[in-house]
Amino acid sequence: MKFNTDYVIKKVGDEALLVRQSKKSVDYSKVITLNPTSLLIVEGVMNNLSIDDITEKMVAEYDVSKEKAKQDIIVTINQLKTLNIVYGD
Amino acid sequence: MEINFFVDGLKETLEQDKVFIMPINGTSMQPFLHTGDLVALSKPFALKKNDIVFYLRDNGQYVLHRIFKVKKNKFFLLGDHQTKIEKNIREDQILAKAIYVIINEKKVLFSDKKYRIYLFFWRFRFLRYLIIKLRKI
Repeated sequence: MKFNTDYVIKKVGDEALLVRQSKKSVDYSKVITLNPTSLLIVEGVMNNLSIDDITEKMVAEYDVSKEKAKQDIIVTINQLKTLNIVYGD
Repeated sequence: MEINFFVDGLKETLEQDKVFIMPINGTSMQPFLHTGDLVALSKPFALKKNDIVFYLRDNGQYVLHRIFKVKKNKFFLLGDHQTKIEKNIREDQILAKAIYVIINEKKVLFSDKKYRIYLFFWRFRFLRYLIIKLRKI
């Protein structure tokens, strides 16, 4: 599973946003807002963590069962894959 | 999304000598630009008549309009859908200059022939006034 390095995380106040950025330009026309749990997931993928590793982090951070956390993580990653922000298995 | 969010991103991007792409919001630059179109902004350089610039009014409002005239280092600005000229904008108020736009997902360069024809006719303020008034009937 790999993170598309054309995207970067921008922190704006309490919000975190995914913004598309290349060597020559920064595209704010399609910005994706990340809530705290999706930020945790995105940062996990950026740091090359496996789904199980990200699940452990989420369980440690939030009051959620391992099964529910893993399910939510898989759903989020699949959404990011449809946007080509994450690719591979 | 708040305009300040875009402005912070714009300033950071221009500091890196990159181009900043931002969505258009509003009607003042119609018929050329509509809400949802995109504008690519770079550092303001060699500003001249007909350039489209992003600037900060003294009242704190951020605007994207066209340079109608430059006189004694002051800029006179006007939206394509407007007839009243905004006078005496200082160079330090201008944050960025448009280098191209994206309309219906197509890149439009300011050297494009169709754009230059549009600009030729739209610079006539009286013609613009007439068309705007006729549209309201």
